[in-house]
Amino acid sequence: MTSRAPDAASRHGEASATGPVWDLRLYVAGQSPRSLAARANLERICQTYLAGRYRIEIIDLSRNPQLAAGDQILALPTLVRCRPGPTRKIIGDLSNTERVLIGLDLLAGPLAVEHP
Amino acid sequence: VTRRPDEARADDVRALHAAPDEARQTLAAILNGEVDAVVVSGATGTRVFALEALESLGQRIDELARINEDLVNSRAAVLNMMEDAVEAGAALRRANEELRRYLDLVEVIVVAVNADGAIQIVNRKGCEVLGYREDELLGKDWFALCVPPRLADERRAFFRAMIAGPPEKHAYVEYPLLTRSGAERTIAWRSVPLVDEGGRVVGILRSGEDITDRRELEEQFRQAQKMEAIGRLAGGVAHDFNNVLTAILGYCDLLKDDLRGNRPALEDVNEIRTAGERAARLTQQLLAFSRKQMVIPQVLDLNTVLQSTEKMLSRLIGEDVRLTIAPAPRLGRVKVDPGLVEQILLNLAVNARDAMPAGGELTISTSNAALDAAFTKRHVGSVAGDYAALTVRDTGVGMSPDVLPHIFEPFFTTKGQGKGTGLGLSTVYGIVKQSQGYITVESAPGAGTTFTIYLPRVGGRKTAPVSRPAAPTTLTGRETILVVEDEPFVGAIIQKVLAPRGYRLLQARSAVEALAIEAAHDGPIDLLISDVVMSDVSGPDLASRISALRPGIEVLFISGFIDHAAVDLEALSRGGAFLQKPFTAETLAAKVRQRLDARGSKPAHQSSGEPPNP
Repeated sequence: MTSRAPDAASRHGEASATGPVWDLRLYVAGQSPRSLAARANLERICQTYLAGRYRIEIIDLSRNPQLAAGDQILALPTLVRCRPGPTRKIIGDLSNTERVLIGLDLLAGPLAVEHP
Repeated sequence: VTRRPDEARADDVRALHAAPDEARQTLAAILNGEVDAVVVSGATGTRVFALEALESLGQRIDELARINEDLVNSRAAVLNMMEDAVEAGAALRRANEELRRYLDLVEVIVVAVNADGAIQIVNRKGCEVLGYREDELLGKDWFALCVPPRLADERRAFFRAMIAGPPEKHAYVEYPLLTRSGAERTIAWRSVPLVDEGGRVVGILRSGEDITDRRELEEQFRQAQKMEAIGRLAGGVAHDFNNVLTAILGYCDLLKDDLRGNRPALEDVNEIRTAGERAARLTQQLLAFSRKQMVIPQVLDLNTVLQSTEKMLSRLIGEDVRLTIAPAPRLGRVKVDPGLVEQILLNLAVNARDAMPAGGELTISTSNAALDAAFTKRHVGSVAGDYAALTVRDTGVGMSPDVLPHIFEPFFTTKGQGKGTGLGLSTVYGIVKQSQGYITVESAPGAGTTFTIYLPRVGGRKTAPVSRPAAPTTLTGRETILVVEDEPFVGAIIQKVLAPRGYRLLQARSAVEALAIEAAHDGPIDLLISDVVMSDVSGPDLASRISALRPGIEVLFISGFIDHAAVDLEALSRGGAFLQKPFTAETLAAKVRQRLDARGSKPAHQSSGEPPNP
């Protein structure tokens, strides 16, 4: 973690109330167990932290593998935050909510909590 | 929304920082099981692999790796085994080569033939004796190639019996091999049946020793022994014969004196005498063969004898035969009776002439020769050393191998009835043996004959020619003579010859009797006539005993043959005190007078203390 993190967290914290729409893209491998888990986890997190201001695009690479090229996807499932920028990737089934929130800059790390 | 260029650059830098993080995260997610598929981009495009499948693929890969490992291991094992096998093979080959080397080292022929008689193995010695290379022999029929045709059927039958019969160990047989050149070698064979696991005879292994040379030596040895035996027999016969002939010739001489004026009777006696003389010559030759001839060896140069005989030889061989004499320079001297060398030359020349009825060439040459161990090994009876060689070579009809072993036997002749005595070559043989020499003969039908005579070289100067005492003018005398002769009719003829010429004779039949007569006789004894060989004491022994009792007594030995071991012939002959049987009445009378006259001219030591005879 860097020392800039508390500032970013506070800024996103403000945005979470009224901020812009989040564009999220979830790359999956068909109906694979981790893919299904990722979709469920993402829906839950978005409902909780971005209610009303998010869009999720599901891209099934098992059907269109060539679509992996755009975001340089290596493993599935992988979540990509397209907006707000900059682009961020979270690899895995999103079962660790805390790591997802940190990855999406939705939550400041533990240090940010202690130093508001 | 447009971004300022510096913002875009900042994004790029972030992305650059993000890449290693992303790789780390991807790896962590895979390890945590949070992803279950991967995207793989390659030349053929991008594909998605489910990790589950990948996992099992991984397992299979592991499995394959294990299998592979096993394979690698087992391959190594196989390689090891192969290496071992190769090494074992090499060791086996080495052992085989070693065995083969041994097989080729032995001086014994080793041949293995299969049940059909085809050659399976033949060693170096076998190839050497047969004169073929190994590859020319392998697989060939033994009996067709290596056995003389006249024996092939018999040997093959024997072989088949051996193959068919119960395995019998070590059959020994001698039979000749036919070599590539067509020559035959006598081989002593031992055969062992080769038996397979089922006990069947599948071939024969033979070892053979080349005994040709040994057989030849044995044959030579037998030959030498035979000649020795014949010689002894001939010598014995000649000895007795000489006594008889002495009587015949002596009585003829006496009769001739009695028959003076009776012409027809005188002619008859002359016929008897001529026949007796012929018989005497034959006896002489027999004695020569049996090496009992009286000889007076001299140190001489063979070339001198050869040159002095040349004229006689060329007369002898006739006009159709060309004679070439090739004397070697610096020829070593030999010690031999020159008369015997002449006899050798004459006999060999006559033989050569008879072998060349249509003419040809006779070459007589001399040379220095050294007989070495290699020569003596091959020639029974020869002694190593330095020799002067006399070679007589003709271009005549030659002799066949079955005649050669007999040519030196007395009375063996290939000439027609009445043409030869069969004593010519046996005389030569006897002379050579008597002179400690050696004779070889090489001959083949149509290829002429070569005799080579080796006489031992001696040091020293040439012997001065023996000066013969002048023949006495008178053959009568009044002296007393003691005659010792165990053959009564020889004693009688001496009596008949000498008594009428005025001598007084005392007769003894043995040495013992002679000593008794000497002791009993009061008057002088001027001459002792004694046989050389007697049953009790030898003539020379008796002579020395009587000489001791009566110093100055003269001695005349008479003998038909001489045992060279017992008599110093040379010493005796130097004094001329020797008369060979058979002798004529006149020779005896002359010899007696000569001895008695010599007494007076001799230095004092021989007759010291003895009053000079009137």
